[in-house]
Amino acid sequence: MTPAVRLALFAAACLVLLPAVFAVAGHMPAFGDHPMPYGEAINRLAPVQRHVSNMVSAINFDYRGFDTLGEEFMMLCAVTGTVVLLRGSRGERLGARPGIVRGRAILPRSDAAVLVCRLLGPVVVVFGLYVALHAMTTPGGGFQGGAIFATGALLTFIGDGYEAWRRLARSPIFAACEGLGATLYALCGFAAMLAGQPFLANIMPKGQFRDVFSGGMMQIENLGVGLAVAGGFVMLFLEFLEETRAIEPGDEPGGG
Amino acid sequence: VTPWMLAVLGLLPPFIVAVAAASVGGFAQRLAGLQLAIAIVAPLLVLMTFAFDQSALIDLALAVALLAAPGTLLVSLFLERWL
Repeated sequence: MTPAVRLALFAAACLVLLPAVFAVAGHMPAFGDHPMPYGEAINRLAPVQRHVSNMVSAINFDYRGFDTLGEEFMMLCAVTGTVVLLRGSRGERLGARPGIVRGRAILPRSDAAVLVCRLLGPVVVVFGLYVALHAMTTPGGGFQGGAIFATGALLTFIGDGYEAWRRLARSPIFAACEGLGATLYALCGFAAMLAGQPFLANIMPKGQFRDVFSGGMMQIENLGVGLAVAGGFVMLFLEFLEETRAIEPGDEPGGG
Repeated sequence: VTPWMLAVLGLLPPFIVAVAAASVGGFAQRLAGLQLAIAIVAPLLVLMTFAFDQSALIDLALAVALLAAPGTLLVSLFLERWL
């Protein structure tokens, strides 16, 4: 299909679809007026019942905490699947020659890039911890904090290369983080049952509204999610970056 | 209309230009356009924090500023070696 035909097709599609778009836009609720009773109810109830000001965390870890448990294990399965698919016999040795595209020189990292990565890495890791810790008060939470933490770890690869990255990011440690995080979340549910309450009921003291440590058991569930996401993302980075190595004699492709 | 809101509105046209620059041309030009867009969007988010009086928004500006650097470096590394 040539670009001209594609443009003509696009114009024809616009002619058909645009009236429908305008018709829908005409029937939208007025600006600032929204038919979302659930959101209104959460905004009203969560500060009183759970003493938290981040409603997303209140929904994720408390009002619909059971869904998050499912999502937690979905992520565990997805990471496990990726690792099983990509990990062959390669990756046992820590040193590795990078894979080369023909005609492309491998330039050493410039000093400026290395310096930026070494300075920025710890800052990004601290910011990740900050986002994860303030799950109950500001936007963010364990998932976002864990992802930022993993990005900070990835800066080792960008700055100091594959060998340094493999020496730092030991896969057993991060696999344990991932599994323990998900388990911690599930254990929170069983702890509530031990106390004679329904599964995942919030049995801990809720703390002060707008305090970092408000929210009761949501704090522990948030810690579980943070651990699982940080571990899971580093595991994914490990497997994907392994794909950038040159294949050595004796290496098997993944799936071994 | 507060001065903060005026500043937000003033930064919007350059942001649109940067996004336009990021959506045409080769890899390198798009990456440069993306960098420009990020450099504008970080102060834009700070200004929006004050314009809309939502103090928590400032975390987003911090996140954009801190995560843009690793992202760009990783993309440029792959551009240099493999893409």
